[in-house]
Amino acid sequence: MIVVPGNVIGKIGQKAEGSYYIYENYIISNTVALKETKKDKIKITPLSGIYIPKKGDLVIGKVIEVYPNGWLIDINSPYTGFLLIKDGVNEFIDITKIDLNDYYTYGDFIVAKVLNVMRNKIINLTTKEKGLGKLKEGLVISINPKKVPRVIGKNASMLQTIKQITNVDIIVGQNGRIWISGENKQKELIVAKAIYMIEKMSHTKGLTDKIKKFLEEEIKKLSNG
Amino acid sequence: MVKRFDGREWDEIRKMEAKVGIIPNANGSAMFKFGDTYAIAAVYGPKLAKVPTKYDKAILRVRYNMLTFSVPERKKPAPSRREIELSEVIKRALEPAIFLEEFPGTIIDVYVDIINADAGTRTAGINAASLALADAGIPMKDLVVAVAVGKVGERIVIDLTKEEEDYDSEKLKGTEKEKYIEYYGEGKATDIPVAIIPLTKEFTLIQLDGEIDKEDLEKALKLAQEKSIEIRNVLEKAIKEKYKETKL
Repeated sequence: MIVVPGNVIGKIGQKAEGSYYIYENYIISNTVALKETKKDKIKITPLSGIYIPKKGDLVIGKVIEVYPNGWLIDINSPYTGFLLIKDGVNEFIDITKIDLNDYYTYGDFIVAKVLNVMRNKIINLTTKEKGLGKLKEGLVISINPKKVPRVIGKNASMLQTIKQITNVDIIVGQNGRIWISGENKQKELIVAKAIYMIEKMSHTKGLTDKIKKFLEEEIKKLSNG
Repeated sequence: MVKRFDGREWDEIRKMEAKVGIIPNANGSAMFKFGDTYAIAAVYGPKLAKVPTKYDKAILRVRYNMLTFSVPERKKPAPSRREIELSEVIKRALEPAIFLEEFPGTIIDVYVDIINADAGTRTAGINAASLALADAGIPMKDLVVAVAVGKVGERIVIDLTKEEEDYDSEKLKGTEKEKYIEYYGEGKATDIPVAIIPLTKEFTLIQLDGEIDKEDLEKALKLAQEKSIEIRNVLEKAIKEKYKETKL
């Protein structure tokens, strides 16, 4: 069920999860959201909005500035991320001799994890974990951050389906940026199309099957030339 | 039986129309119509504030603009005193309903444009802006609802038109509209635009232009509170229309 700001969703004492506030013993929705009730738990998922970084989020960022002590990263949010040298590079480097542009430079896309969100909304990022770092090839597309859970699907079912049928690599950032890498450009574009379809038709019934059918047809066309 | 100039009852609002998501570039957008008054609103942000801000809540910035062709005689495009004032008025009407503290250090830009003006532009503007804010996914207590109430002659009415705002029983005497004096009564018109948070029944805007006594003011405000639910339903329906295809 779609709820709008100000709609009563439940009484106080009921278990609720997502975006809501309390007013006089009532649980009230504060955004345009989807309300789902499972057993006695209410789940409220907002349908639009921007990305607000949280500690531990995996994000895909773009280098927009190189400073003497690190890199400024655009993370598709009002707040910019900062990647310090100590969090971005594994080995010891002598900054008097080495140019930081050799590691990450303007326009590079990187996969990073949110290390810390400070009170004044300075976002510290890190790439010092397995699977993080610079994205060298592939395609980066951007969708509404609130639709990310739908692209991943329940227990990553949607992502698995796409990967199985098309055999491409996908990294989904919590900030709405998605990296796609396959054996050729056409395949990547098909996957991008499918992801835009998910964004547009999110919350419709049987979406995984629809996407499956779409991908299978497109791949068939591609292999037939 | 004589009714109002346009044939409405005293507590009848003009035909309302609302639509959400009309401007693809904006994070959220909407249009709202009160009869011939037609307002559109676009919301951009929250985006990073470039001006130094206190890091405790977001800044709301509203720009109200009447397009040059919105009135019968060409309006100068430069922002007038009235428009600057109304921008501030709309900002203050919306601010109490928004959880600005969730986006510290950012700016939310709201642009309200009036395409056709026939009285009640600020109220139509507020309705459009609150729809656009909801569409942008900005957390709010409730949809802010605005409507004008007032006293025309001796009668309390809702949603005044331009003709009613300019009502003066002295001027009508001897013209073909003399019969309306019977309905409205002697005197001039008082226009009170109000904005309400329907859930808490709080007023976020009350402006008064003219003269009215305390009892009539209370009656008029009560009428606005009652009717706010009706307008809110129109707004709610407009948002749900956008997600019509969504099924569970």
